[in-house]
Amino acid sequence: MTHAVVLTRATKRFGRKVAVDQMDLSVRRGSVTGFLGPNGSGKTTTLRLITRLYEPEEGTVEVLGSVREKCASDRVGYLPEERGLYRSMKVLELLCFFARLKGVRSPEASVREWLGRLDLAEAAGLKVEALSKGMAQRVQFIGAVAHRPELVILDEPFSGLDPVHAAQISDAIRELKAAGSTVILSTHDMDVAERMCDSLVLIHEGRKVLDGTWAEVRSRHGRVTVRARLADGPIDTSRLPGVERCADLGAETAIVLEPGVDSQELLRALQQQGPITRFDLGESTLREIFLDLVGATRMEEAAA
Amino acid sequence: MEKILVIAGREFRAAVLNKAFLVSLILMPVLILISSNASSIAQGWKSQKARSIAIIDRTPGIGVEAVPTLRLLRERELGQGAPAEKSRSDTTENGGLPGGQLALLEFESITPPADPAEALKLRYDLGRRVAAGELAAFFDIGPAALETNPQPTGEASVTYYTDKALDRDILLGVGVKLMTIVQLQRTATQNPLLLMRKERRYSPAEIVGLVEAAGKTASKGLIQRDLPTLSESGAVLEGKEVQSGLRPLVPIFAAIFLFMIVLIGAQPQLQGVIEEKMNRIGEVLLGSATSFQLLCGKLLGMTGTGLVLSMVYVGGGLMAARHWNLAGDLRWDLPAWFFLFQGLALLLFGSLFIAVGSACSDMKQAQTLLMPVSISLSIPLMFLLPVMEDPTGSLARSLSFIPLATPTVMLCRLAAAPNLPLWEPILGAFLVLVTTVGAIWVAGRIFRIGFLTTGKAPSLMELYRWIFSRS
Repeated sequence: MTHAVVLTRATKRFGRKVAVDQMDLSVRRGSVTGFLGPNGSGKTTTLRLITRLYEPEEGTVEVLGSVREKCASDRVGYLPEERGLYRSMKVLELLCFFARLKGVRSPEASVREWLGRLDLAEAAGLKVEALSKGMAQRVQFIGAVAHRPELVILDEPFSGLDPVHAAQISDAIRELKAAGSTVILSTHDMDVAERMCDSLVLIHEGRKVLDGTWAEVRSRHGRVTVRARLADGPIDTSRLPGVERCADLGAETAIVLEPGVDSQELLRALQQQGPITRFDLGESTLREIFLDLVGATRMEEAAA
Repeated sequence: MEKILVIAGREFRAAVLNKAFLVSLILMPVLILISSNASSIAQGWKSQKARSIAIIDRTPGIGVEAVPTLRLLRERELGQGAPAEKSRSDTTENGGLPGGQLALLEFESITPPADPAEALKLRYDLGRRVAAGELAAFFDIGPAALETNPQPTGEASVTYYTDKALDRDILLGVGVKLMTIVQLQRTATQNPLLLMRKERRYSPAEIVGLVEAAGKTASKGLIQRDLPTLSESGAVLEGKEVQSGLRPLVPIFAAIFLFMIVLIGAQPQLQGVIEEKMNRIGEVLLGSATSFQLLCGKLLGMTGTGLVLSMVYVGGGLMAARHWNLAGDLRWDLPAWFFLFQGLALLLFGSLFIAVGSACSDMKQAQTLLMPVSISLSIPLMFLLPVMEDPTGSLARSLSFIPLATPTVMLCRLAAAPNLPLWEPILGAFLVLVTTVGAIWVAGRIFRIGFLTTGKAPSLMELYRWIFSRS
């Protein structure tokens, strides 16, 4: 069994709205997979299908080898997008309760270890209502992982965290992966996804738009981008070869080349326009690919 | 001032332009109508069959003329058109003779044996007839009842033998009248004007005249006892004396207490479910347990809390009753029935409250959906008095087999009628159990969708879809 999660033509509707549409998706065991997509794209619904909060109207959702049974839920950890903690419970008591719900008989040691790791040891006796947003966020994270799940589903795990604590969570995710857990990470933060994820899934309008490792995604959808500046004035982009699009950044111009176009050809064409004071070569970021794909889908839909 | 009016306008519109307001607008008069007419409804269900009362008069000579006097009083009532409604409001204190209560009563005069042991055996036999339903009750007028300064014992008073907690028709219609007759005849034994008579007694007509003229009746000295029983050795045991005022309180108290524990237990569950929805805890919980596990866990927790509360209060009540020597008046099987019906009521109404909570996003929405549940919980309380007065009547029996009313009404019947056939509470409990299973199933279906749904409360059609949809 190489995949922790397999969705086969999974469909979920709410009334007339199709939130997840014929989704085919596989998440490799032991990987960190990023779920990307604009708001309302169906990411959270897909995660809820995986956590069995929703049942698909069509298709199947296989989680850790189990298709229908709820038994996999004890092996899954879930951090929902909107935090859910009992405000009047103490932190340690609450986390032990969550862990016991997952079938852990004596969770206190594991919970205390996680509290220490995320700088929350002193908050163990505090009531949840006394926690700051960032502390509550870390407590919720511990609730999702303290039972050492095989599959961890994290919906926006970094929201509300300062850089220090975000780095702690990142480290914790890497440790989970190193320990053999599969992590699904839903995020709007493209830098995080690019840095942490082995593979990426872009969901838009309930459909999977992109799927693969970062290298695969970049080779399929990436473009060469150039930031250039001339000493004598603005660049005449109409005289440049293989330009897919460009953007005037004031003193500079950002140029995206068509696939397969050699950047040296562009350099030669620019030299004919005058002395070059800047010529930076770069590859597409995930953000740019994301915006490209989502924008293209929107345009296709508009045309249709 | 303008701002105040703007705010007032918004508050008024928010309060009036919602379903809760409309529902309460319609239901309030219906509830008032039902509660104010509960007594009349009960009267309509009341058996019109004549009931027999046996009277043993052990006073010497011609006795106190009890049966002829009661028959004459009944004729007077019937002659006045048996003003039943009037009689309900009349009391012995306002001077009016309670009328109407005798209309459906027949009186049987029992000749007492001279031997006290035989007299006890006779009372036991009459008790058997009461238990079998041949007699509604029987009275024993003690041999010393006409003494001028009688001791407050059964020998010098009137004893009312019954198996019911409260039967106002017999207690007020016969018991109080019998005491009045005895007291008047006691004065007759001292009246020099009656010296010429063979025995110094008033005639039935004179007693009726005196009562009507004086406009007073008396209940002081009337003793109430349970029916005589047999000991293990076969000896007849006199029935236990019923302590003043406690017996009639038990059925009402037990039923109202059950109602309150259900409210105390279920209301926080409803608020808790709404809080879990609002704080998004539901998503975390449902990621770990099925909606059915979650619902059942909540129900069991709530039922456990309710039962612990009940145990503390019931245990405390029993200890207090024992401390003040009132425990002899209480039946010891009643707490077992109480806990059974309390547990079932907590499960039944708890599941409905949780279903309502899971379908709503705030308390305002919940108020609308909760209305039918609250009404079905509280309507039986309006009928407790008539049920207690006639616990084996058609109204009591019918109500006690309507599952939503069974816990309170059956408990009231059990407390009011010790000889209730065992199959009735068992059948009642079974029906509640079946309904509870159904209610938990429905609540589970609503819960599994409602718990993750936010926004406006679902319509009835949506609720129907939630219950019967596949996913």
